[in-house]
Amino acid sequence: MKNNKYQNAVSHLKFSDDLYQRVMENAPEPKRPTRMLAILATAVLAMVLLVSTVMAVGFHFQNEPIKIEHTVPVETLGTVKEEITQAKMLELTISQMTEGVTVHYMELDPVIQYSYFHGMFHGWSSGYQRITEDYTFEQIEMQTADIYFDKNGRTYKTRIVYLDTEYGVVTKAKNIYQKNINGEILVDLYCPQGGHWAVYFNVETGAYRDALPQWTEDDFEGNVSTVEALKGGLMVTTLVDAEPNGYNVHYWIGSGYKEPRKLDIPREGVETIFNDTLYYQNPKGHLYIMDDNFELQLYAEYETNDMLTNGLLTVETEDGKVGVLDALTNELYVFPDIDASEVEIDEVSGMHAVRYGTDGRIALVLSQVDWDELRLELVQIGVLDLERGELRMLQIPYDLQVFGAHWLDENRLGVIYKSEDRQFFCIYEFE
Amino acid sequence: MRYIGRKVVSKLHKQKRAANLERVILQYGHGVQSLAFTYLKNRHDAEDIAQEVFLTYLQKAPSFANAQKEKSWLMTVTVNRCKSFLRDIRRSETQLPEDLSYLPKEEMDLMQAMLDMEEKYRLPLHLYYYEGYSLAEIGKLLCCPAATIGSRLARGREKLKQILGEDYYEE
Repeated sequence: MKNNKYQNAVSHLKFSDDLYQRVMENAPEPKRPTRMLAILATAVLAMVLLVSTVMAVGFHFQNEPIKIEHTVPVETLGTVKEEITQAKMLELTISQMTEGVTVHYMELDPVIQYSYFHGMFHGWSSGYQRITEDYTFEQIEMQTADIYFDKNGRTYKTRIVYLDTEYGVVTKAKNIYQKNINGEILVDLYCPQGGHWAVYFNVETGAYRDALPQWTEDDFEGNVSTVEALKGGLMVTTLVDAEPNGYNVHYWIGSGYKEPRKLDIPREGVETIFNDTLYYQNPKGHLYIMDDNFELQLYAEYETNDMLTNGLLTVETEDGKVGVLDALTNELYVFPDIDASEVEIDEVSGMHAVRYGTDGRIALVLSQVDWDELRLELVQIGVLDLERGELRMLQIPYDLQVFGAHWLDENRLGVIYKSEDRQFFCIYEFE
Repeated sequence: MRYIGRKVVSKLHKQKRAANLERVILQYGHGVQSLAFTYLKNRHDAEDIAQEVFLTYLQKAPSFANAQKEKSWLMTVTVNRCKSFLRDIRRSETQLPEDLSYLPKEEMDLMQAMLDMEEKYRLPLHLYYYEGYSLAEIGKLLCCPAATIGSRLARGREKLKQILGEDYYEE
């Protein structure tokens, strides 16, 4: 990249000259790396919880039982401390609410980041918290575990944690799939040395085995960046020529680990896997679906800045209203009171529908940012009942931004709201 | 085979470690500190973070397939250290504005405008225009979809243009 004015400015920043000296003064003796696999008992427990609540993606593995090539004992590192803190609950009824809905608010520590996975809301800052069914906090301090894999002479060091560490968040919910017939789940791991690899993890024994044992990175063009389940096999995505013009190449590996098949997916757009199906969106927003012959077919020709998220795409309809296309049901939900010309449809800053839950009731969260005032102008949550064909819109105070939401059970929707300096956990109870 | 005593082996090993660390600091030291500075907006904090990052490098002694992966590792560790640092800071603390008066005026204005921006724009701008990372790589570093990074780059650049009156990223 040619020099630009910002590059010049940064290159002139002055820092102390003694960095090397300071590091060496504090340097301890190096530890000999251990070559054993270890995992926390609580991580195993969390994995068991995850397996029981994970989305069904129709993942099927090969028909014959898979032989586990090696089993590694589960070890516990460190200790897990638990403290339970009673949260202060506020009862609040919002006058704009639709009839038949009660809202409970609970104020949260504003510096803690919360999100939903593993069956409940979790938050972490320096520690790790969980919001329980009784609206209490469980404070848990987790140690991290180093897991080493031998892969053709190279060692990948990874950590399976739910905290941000210096190696990054290793596992994300979308990369963990329903367990296969052998009681294993596919886990996509981020390796700090660069790239990803994947293993099958047995939640009961804690054993790991390589998901791609026959293949090395030399068998793929570029460096492996993700491994995901698709159409009964695995899709491996690699990154070629990291800078400045990096692009992705995709391979599909079928049952029995036959030859990897290179997938013909254009470089310019974005692909995503939802419900065991690959979708591709070109830069204009046009949506394509990959058929059983691994060919892309045009699925929806809306021009939109939104990106398909959990099978939902926010679009402008033919009569100028805001609509949400649902790839799960092939339906278009139209919001008759929202004029598309008055809002911005955009995944980052505008109207963007997100699905929370996969049953007949979907919560659609639409938020809109006023970029002039730099605040949230309008937030709406819609509860879509597909059986009754009803969309119930709930109005929320506009100075709060939706940060996350999930169904807690059939009648209760949990939502995390944030303003500039406050944070709330809100539960909507529907009659 | 000639026998080399333990102390000599240990000394050779230490020298090798030191030489490798020196190489890494020379090669990436300014980049790590600049990224930390962009995150934390404070040079002293950035220097502390850089020290922690290279200390971690020394302790973990990771091996890399190539220079690109080594750099990626250092940047990832830096980003995560900065995140942890910001989470530990009490909200009541106020930071003194960073003194950038030693920079030429045009560069000072640009740098100040960058520091005044929200983190979600500031970091992608820095990683793209200073480090030269692609959108996909920035997405991995910041745990964000590449399309979101693209959107933030465009908006950040637009905001700077409005503040400064011209496009400072022109090459």
